[in-house]
Amino acid sequence: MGSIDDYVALVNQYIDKDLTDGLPVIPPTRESVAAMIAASGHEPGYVLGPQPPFGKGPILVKDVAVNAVLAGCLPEYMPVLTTTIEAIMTQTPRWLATTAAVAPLTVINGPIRKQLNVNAGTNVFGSVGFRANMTIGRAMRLCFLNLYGARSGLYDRATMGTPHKIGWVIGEDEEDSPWGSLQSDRGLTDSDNSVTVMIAHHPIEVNHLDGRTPEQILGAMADALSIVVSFNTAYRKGAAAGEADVLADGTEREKFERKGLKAVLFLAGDHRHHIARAGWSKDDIRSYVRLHAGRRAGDFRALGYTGLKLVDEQAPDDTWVELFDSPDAIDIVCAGGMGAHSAVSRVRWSVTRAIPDPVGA
Amino acid sequence: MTEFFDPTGGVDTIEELSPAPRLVSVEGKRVGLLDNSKTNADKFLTIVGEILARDFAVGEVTMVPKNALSKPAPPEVLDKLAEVADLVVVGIGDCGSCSTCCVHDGIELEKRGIPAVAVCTEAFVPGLKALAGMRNMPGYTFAVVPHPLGVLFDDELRERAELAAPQVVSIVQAG
Repeated sequence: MGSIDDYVALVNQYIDKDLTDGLPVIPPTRESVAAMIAASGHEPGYVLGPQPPFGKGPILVKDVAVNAVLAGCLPEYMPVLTTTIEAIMTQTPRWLATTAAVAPLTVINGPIRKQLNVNAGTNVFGSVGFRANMTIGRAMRLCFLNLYGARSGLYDRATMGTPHKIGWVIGEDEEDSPWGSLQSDRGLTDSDNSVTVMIAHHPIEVNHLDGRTPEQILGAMADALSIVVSFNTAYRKGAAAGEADVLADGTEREKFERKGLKAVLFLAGDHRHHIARAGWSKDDIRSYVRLHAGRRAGDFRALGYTGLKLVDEQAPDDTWVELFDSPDAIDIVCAGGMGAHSAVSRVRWSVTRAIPDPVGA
Repeated sequence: MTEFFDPTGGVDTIEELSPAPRLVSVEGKRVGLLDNSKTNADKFLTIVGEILARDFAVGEVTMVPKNALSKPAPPEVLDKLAEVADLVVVGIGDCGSCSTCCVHDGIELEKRGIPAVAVCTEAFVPGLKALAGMRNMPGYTFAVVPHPLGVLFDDELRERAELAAPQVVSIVQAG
């Protein structure tokens, strides 16, 4: 190998050819790519997802491996990375192209957090200094850029976008959860490893230093979720052509279904302990937030959100419109440090996938 | 010199596909309207169909809803259009994901031998041209109208339709 200058020149080639996120990368070698593939537990040609609209072919492990090296991942991160890529690419790649300001959030559960030193505590959303959080998120974004074609202006048409596109990977602080982990809500056990991938909006901070009761804390969270613009994302879509509701006066109205907005509550240290001390369960939390997340129809109609048919046009302005279909739309994640600064995010889509043990690991 | 790795994957692509053969004339030809159920897509497409009948003497016009918002059209929908139409107007592409799917659906119809013009807004043109290349049909042409589209009131929607309909005709006709 030559000098630092040679190395920098090679890095600049990757950047200049538009193969990076704009930041310096680790140039791959045959050995480093092979090490990534070996650590994944898959064959190099294993298909993680179908050919995307701007992709050259199906998403293969060997190509994810190249991007993992570029991102600065360690080989042991590969099972997490391939599981999240497979989850997104097989189910909802269109969310990578939306005009909305969303990004994939990856929540890691299980013993793998400690093995990889994934941050779940203080400064969890800004896990600067934690190689696992930073480089797994970065590798995901490089895969979206290089294998999916989600380049700004090309297929990523987000009007504003969000800084979370650079990477948004967190662990859950399972050890400090009064109620068990997110993955246990999905039927997995504490010895399993999993990722929950959510297409999420930017977190809204719910700082409530004076809040002591579940009602106060969760009421503030419900309020934070119920901003007028949330009612834009909960719109109803048309059902199959030809279906109609028949109204009381006999007229027909085109049938709509609720789109199904979700949310995630990030409960900070102080808040989760206040809520647990009051004897509340996760189900209690979900039910309360669901009951209180909503708005008067007049509030969003006055601002022009009338075309989205959340509520009948004839209904009075003080009609209460709920934001979520059911308590099941709301997930709870115990993360972040101590303090009274929780957060909430609107979520458009979510899936949990177990991380398989690499063969021979 | 250290080997350079391509992180964009895939194999080098294959042959370039041509769009479907052009029509000698749209006169008397059956028109299909592929509605992706974006706001006012059906209204806009209906007006385009009316203008094609009024000014270009097309034959029967059939609206076919896609029922797959922001996804590629299912094969049954493409089959239906192949049955009822000699040319198709695909709409509307006034957002990121829907414009991509309109062009994708248009190309899929062209591969089945049916000229199909996606109507998209100018905001998304560069990406859509690149998409056509990635889909191996760089010669695919679509209609472009000013942005926005679906949110417009009736008079402006009609103005956009008056811009789109002649483009549809010049794109599907030979010569």
